[in-house]
Amino acid sequence: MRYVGNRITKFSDPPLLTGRARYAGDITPPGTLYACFVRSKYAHARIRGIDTSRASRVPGVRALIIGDEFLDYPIFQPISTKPYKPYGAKEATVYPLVVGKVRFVGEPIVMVVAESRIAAAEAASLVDVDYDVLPAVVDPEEALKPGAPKVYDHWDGNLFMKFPSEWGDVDAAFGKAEYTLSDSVRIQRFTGQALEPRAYVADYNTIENHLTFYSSTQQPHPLRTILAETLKIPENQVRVVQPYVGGGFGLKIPPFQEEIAVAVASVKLGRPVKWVAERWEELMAGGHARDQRHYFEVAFNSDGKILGMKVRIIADMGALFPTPGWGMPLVTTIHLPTVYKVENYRIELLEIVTNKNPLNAYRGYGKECACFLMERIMDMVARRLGKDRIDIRMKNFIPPNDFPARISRYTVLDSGNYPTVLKRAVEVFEYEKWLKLKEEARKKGRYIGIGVAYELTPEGACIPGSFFLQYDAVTIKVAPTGKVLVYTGITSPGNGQETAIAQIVADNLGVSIDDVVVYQGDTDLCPYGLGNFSGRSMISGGSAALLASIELREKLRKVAARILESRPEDLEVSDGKFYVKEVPERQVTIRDAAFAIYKNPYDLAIDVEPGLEITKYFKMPNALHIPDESGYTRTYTSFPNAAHLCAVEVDIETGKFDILKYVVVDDCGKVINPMIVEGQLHGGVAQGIGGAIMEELVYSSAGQLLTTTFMDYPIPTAKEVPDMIIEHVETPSPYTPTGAKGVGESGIVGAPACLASAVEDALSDFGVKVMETPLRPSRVWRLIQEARKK
Amino acid sequence: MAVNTGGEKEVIHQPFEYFAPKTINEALKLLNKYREDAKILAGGQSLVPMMNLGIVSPKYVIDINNIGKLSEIRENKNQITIAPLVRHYEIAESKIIKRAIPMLSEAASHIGDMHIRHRGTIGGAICHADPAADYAPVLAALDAKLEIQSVKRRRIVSARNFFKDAFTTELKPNELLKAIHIQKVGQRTGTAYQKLEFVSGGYAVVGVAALVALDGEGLIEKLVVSVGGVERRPITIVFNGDVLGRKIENATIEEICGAVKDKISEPLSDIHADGEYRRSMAAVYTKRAVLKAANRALGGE
Repeated sequence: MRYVGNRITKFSDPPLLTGRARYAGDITPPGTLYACFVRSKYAHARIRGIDTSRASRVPGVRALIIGDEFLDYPIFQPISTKPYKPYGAKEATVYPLVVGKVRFVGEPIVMVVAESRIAAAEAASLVDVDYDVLPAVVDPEEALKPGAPKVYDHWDGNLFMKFPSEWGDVDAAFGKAEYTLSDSVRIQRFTGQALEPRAYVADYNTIENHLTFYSSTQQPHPLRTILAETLKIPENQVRVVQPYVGGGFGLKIPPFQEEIAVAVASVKLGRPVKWVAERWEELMAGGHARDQRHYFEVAFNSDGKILGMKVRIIADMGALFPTPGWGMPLVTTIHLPTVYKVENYRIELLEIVTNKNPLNAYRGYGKECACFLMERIMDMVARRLGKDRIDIRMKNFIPPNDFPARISRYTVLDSGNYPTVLKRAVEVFEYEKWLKLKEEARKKGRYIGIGVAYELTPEGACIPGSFFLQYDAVTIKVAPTGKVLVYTGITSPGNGQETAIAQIVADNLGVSIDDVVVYQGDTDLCPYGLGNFSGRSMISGGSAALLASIELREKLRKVAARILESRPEDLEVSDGKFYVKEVPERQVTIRDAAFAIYKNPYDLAIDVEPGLEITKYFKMPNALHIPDESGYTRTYTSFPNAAHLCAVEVDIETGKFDILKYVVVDDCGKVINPMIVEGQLHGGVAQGIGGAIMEELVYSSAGQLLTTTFMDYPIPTAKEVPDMIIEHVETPSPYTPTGAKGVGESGIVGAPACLASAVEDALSDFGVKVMETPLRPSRVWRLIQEARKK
Repeated sequence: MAVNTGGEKEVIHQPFEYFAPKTINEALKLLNKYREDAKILAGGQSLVPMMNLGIVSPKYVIDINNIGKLSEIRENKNQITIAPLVRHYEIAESKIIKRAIPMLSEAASHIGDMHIRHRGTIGGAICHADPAADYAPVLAALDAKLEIQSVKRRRIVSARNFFKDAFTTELKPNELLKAIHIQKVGQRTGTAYQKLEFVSGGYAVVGVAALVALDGEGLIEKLVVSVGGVERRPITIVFNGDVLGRKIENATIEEICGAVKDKISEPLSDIHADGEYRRSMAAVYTKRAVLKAANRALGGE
C-alpha cells in the first residue's frame, strides 16, 4: 500500500488556495439574465394581490413571475414522508414561489428576471405585495395548543408527526433504580454558512429542448432527476454540472425553491438565467437546523450504571421544504442512547411546524443533539454520585465485544472500541495533570474547567424510497498509454474526496497517483450516483473505486501474464508494473499491458474483452429496509465515534471563556488520508464551537428573523478556534472493503457537549448547570449570577 | 458616473453619482451643493456595506481619498493632529501615537480585522458614530478637539460634544471633519482602552477608555472614564473631588465603578447582550481600564 493511509496533498488545493477554482457564480453563458427574488416581509400572511406595474417599468426587466405562474411545477421531492404515515406524517406540496400564503419571513414570492443584477434588484424593490397578515406561530410548544394559528390550513393542527422509539421495559427499570433525575436540554436554532452562497445558472436551449444547469449542489444526479420530473423535460435532455463548491455541509442538498425557479425561468424565457444568493438570503431562507428541546428523566444506580431513560423531544421544524430537514430530529431519536448501553428507554419525538425558515440538513444532522443530551446526562449522573466523569462513561459504554450492537428498532452499530478511544484521549489530554491544574487555579481564583464528551456520529444514511442511500458508482477508464481517468458519482464540496478516491485507485490498480485524474459533478460524464452527504464518499464511493480498480487490474494482469509468459497468479503489481513474484526482474509496465489491450486484441490480449473501461456500483450490505422477524430495520450504515476532551478558563466577571486545550481522538475506521480526516475534524469542531458559543438564529415573537448578517450572526474566526490535538484509533468497518467509515460530520457532534461540560465544570463551585446553548458570555454570566443568588 | 451598466459586477442596487475631488475646497463645494443627498466615502468600511444592504442609498458619493492632505499624522510639542483619512492600522502602529496616547493605538488595534484596519479611517469611523465603535470613548476621554470645516466656516468641537446620538454627530450636512487634535498626555499620566468583544474583531459590547494622572505620591490627580457600547453615545465622567487625591485601591475602584454604573440609565440591549449585562460589564471594564491606566502612569505596561 503506497497511498492509502498517507498524507497526500489534496488535488483541489492549488485551484482553491490560489483563487483559480471556478464556482457556479463564475459561469455566465452569453445572453445571461439575472434573477432576484421578492421575499416575504411577514412570517404568516395571505397574499391578497401583487402589483408589478412599477417594477415592470424598470429598464432591462424581462420577466416578473408570480407563484401562480409556477403552479405547473410542484417540486419533485427526493425524500418522501410516506413511510412515516403510520406516525401521522403529513405531506406538503412546495412550489418554486409562494402560492396563496407565506409561511416564513424570506419565502420567495415574486421572481424578477432582468438584463442585469442591478435592474433585477431595483425592480424587486418596486414590487408591491398586498399582505393579509395572519398571527404567526413561532414557538413549537405554543403551536400545539388549541387555537394556535395553523401553518398549513388543511392540517388538523401543527403537529407534523409523533414518532416513538422504545426499548426494553422502562417502567420496570425506573421502578427498581436507586436514583432518578430529570431536567431538560435545549439546542438553539442555528445553521451552517458556506462561504460560497447558493448559486444557480440555467441554460435552456429551446431548439434542442436541452437544459444545462450549473449548480452549487451536493447531488448532481438526483438534481437532474428532480429537474426532469419537475420541468417535464426528458431526463436525457438535462445535464447538471457542479463546478467547485465552496462548502456544502448538507445545506446544498437539492432541491431549493430558487433552484427550480431559475430553471423554469430559463425554459420560459429561452435565455440563460443566473442567481447567486446574498448572505442575508442564506441566513433567512437557506435552511436552518437544530432547534430541539429534550425533556428527560434518567434512572440509575449508585454504581453509576444507567438503567433507563424517558425522553420527550420537541423539534421546531419551521415550515416544510422539499429538502430533508425534517429527518434531522428523527436521526436524534433513532440513535439514542448513542454509545451507552441503556437497555430500557422510551422516547417520543414531536415534530412541529411553525412560521420559521424550514429545517434543512446541516452537518451533524441531529446527532449533535443526541450527543449533547447523553453527555449532559452522563455529567449529571457523575455529579450526583460524586464520581469521575470518565469513569461514568467507561461504566456505561457498549463493550467492544457487543458489536454489531442493536441500540434501537432502527439502528445497529457496526463496530467500535469506545473504552480504548476514551482512554487514549485521557492520555493525550493529560487528564490527571489538568485535574491538578484546575485545583491549583481555583485556589488562585481562576476558573478552569475540563470538558468530556463522547460522540457517536452515524454516517452513511440509507433512507428507504429516497435519494439518500448507500450505493454509489465509479467509472475508471485506462487509456492506451496507461493514464487513468476516474469518474465518480460522489462529489466533493471542497473537502478532497477526489484525492482519497485517487489514492484508492492508484493503490489497487498499481499505478502512480500522478497518473490518475478524477472527474466529478457532471451528469454527462459521471455514472449515476448520489453525491455528497452523510459522510458517504468513502463508505460508498471509496468502496466502488476499490472494486472497479481491482477488476481492471485483474484484466491487465491477464494480459501482462501473457506478455511475460507467466501465470496471472504468479504476478505482483506495484509502481505501475507487473512483475513475476519469483523473478522480479521479469516485468511489464501497466502502460504496455494497456497498449496491448488496445492494439493486440487478436494476440496478446486475445482472451480479454477489448477496452479498459468499467463502472462498478457498491451497495452497503448492512442497511435493512425489509423489516426482520422482530420488525426491526437498519437505517444508518457506518458509526464513527470520537472522544473530545478540553480545558477552558472562564472569566467569571464577564462569562467569557477561553479554550486552553482541545483534544479529539477519533475512530473513523481505516483512515484513507489522515490530512483530509484531520481537516474534516478541524472544520467540524470549529462549526461545533460556533454553535456552542455564538451562533443563534433568533426570531421575534412576530416571526421576524433578527439575525440576517454576520454582525448579528457571528461565526467563529481563527481566533476563536483553538489548536487541536487529533489522534486516531482505527476500528475498521466490517462492511466496507477498505475498512473506512464516514468522517464528514465528526467533530461538530461532540464539540458543543464538550464545551458545555467544561464550562459547567469550571463553574462547579457555583453549582451552575449548563443545559442550553449557545454559551455566549452574557448567558454564562447570567448562570453565575443566578447560581450566586441561590 | 453612473454604475447601472448592466452585467453582474455590481452589488450596490441603487444607482448613484460618484465624485473624486482632489482638494478639500472641491469636496466642500460638492457637499454644500448636495448636502443630505451626499455621503462622504473615506475607508468605505461602513458606507459600502450599508449601500450593499440597501440601508443607505445616497444619490451622490464624494470620495475624499484623493485629497492628499487628509492622510497625515502631525506632532508638535503638546499636541498630535490626525487627519481624517489616517487608517486604523497606521494609528495602531504609529510610534508617535503609541508613545503619546497609547490607548488610541490600543483602540485602533482592536477594530475589525486586518483588512478593515487597512481600509477603514479614523474620520470615517467617528463620523459614522456607531455607538459600539472604539474611537468615540477614547477621544471623549482625551477631550480631543475636532476641527470641522464647511465652505464658509471652520469650527472646533470637543469630542465630548461631537457624538449626539447613535449614528448622529454634530456634523451638519455641508460640513467635513478636517482634523482631530489631541493634547499629549502629561507626566505620570496613563491611558488604557479595554474592550469586551464576543468575537475577535467584533464591535465592542463594552469599550472603556480611562485616563489616570497620579501625583508624586501615587494619588489620583485626574481621572476621566468614557464608556462606549453601552448607551447610544459614549458616557464620559470627569471625576472630581470625591475620588481625586485618593489611592488606587479596591474601595476607590469600587466607587469609580459605582459612579459609572449609576450614570448608565438607558443601556442598549440586543440578542447578544441585554442592558443589565452591558451595565455590569461597563463596571468590570472600567475597573480593568483604570487599573491598567494607573499602572501605565507609574511607568508599567
